Amino acid sequence: MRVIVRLFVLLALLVYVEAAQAQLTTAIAPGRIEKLVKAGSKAADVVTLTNEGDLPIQVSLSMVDFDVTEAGEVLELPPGMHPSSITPYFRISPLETMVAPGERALFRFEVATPEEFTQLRAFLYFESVPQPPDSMQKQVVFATAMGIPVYAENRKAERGALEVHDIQWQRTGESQEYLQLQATVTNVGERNIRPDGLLSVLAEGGAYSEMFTVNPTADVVLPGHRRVLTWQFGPVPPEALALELRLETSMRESYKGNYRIPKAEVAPASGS
Amino acid sequence: MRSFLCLVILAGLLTCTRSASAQRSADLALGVTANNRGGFACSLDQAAFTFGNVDAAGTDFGTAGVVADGRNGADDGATYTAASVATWTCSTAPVGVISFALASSGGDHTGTMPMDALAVQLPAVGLGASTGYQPFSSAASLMTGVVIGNGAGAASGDVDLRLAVLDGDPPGANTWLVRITATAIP
Repeated sequence: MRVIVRLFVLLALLVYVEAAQAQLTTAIAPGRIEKLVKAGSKAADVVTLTNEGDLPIQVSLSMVDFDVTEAGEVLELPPGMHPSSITPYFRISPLETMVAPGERALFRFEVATPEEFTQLRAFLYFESVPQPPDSMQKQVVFATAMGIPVYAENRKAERGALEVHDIQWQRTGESQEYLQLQATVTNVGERNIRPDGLLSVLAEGGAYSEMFTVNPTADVVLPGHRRVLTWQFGPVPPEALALELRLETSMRESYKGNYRIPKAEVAPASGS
Repeated sequence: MRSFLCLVILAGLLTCTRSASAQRSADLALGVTANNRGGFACSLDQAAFTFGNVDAAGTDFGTAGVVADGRNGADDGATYTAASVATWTCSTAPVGVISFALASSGGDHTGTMPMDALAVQLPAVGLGASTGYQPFSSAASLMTGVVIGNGAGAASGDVDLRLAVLDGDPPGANTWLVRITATAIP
């Protein structure tokens, strides 16, 4: 009897530990919805959510409008508040569903665009609340909500195009081993633009030569918005540097500039 | 006669051979398309956590991972801190920037203590900027500017919790549902 009791206690402990180790993992595809449509027409697609965790999750959907400040801060607004809100024209189903571990849920959506528009947008959130078993008595339970941007743009709207107002360079980092580019731009088009570019860095004397991709995270500049875009490159050597920047400002045009960065000023080490 | 037959057979073989070497070849083309939809995934390695027993005197009840900070003064209770209660991991394809925020509200708390007795922190990761501990219902930003990719480019970080127990808090069980949003910068 004593052996059976010990085994039961051991099994109970194992179950408790396993429940405590439960993982909450969700994967959404696509990570961004962008539809180029004819005004007055519909676009439809599917978003998939996969429960890669250990517990069933209750998934519920919601939408919020958003805007972006000059500094790149995202401001969320209640749905339908912003003039560019896509929410009056967007339908998705189901709005709630339970997804078992290892299972995938399909959310079908349709955008019925109005006759006149240039860009409609919003954030679509997928909230996942785990359903722990009764044996998992915890005080704090975690739920995750993953938000993806949704855009619908008019085919006939003007493509995004950047006006470059200012370019600033500075060295950053403890040893000034990084280069920071701050570009002030305005998207004078009617659609999003995610500027590509290349930066060539050459050290005086030619011992160092490197090419960097500008905007590797595909930061977007919304139509009609002024933005201060900041990118960091490096590490780069402390010698004086010659830079050649090429930033795509539209489908056909690029901004080009040549710059010289002085030698890094590194503070002398204090004597012991 | 035999010679004539041999000649016919030989002529037939030659014709057959010539026909075999006169095959035409046709170029085959296979059109292939692929729609890369990208993806966005986030995980927490722990779905839940418990502080166990707590009190306003800051008694250490021995709950794993919980540190009692003792009383804060004569009559304003004690603080319990649990660092790294969970590890978050996010990945995106293509590379993107993620921000995290709290999204809990009053309906996500039950019990005798004020809901904002619980505070949540995401320590900074990489280039991300942490805002420190934020009250449970504040809907505050937790961290911004985390650059993440896929595979080796995925980012991970910790979730820290802090619980303040006041002298005036009635005893009893409490639960919180901590909602954390992970938003892909547009």
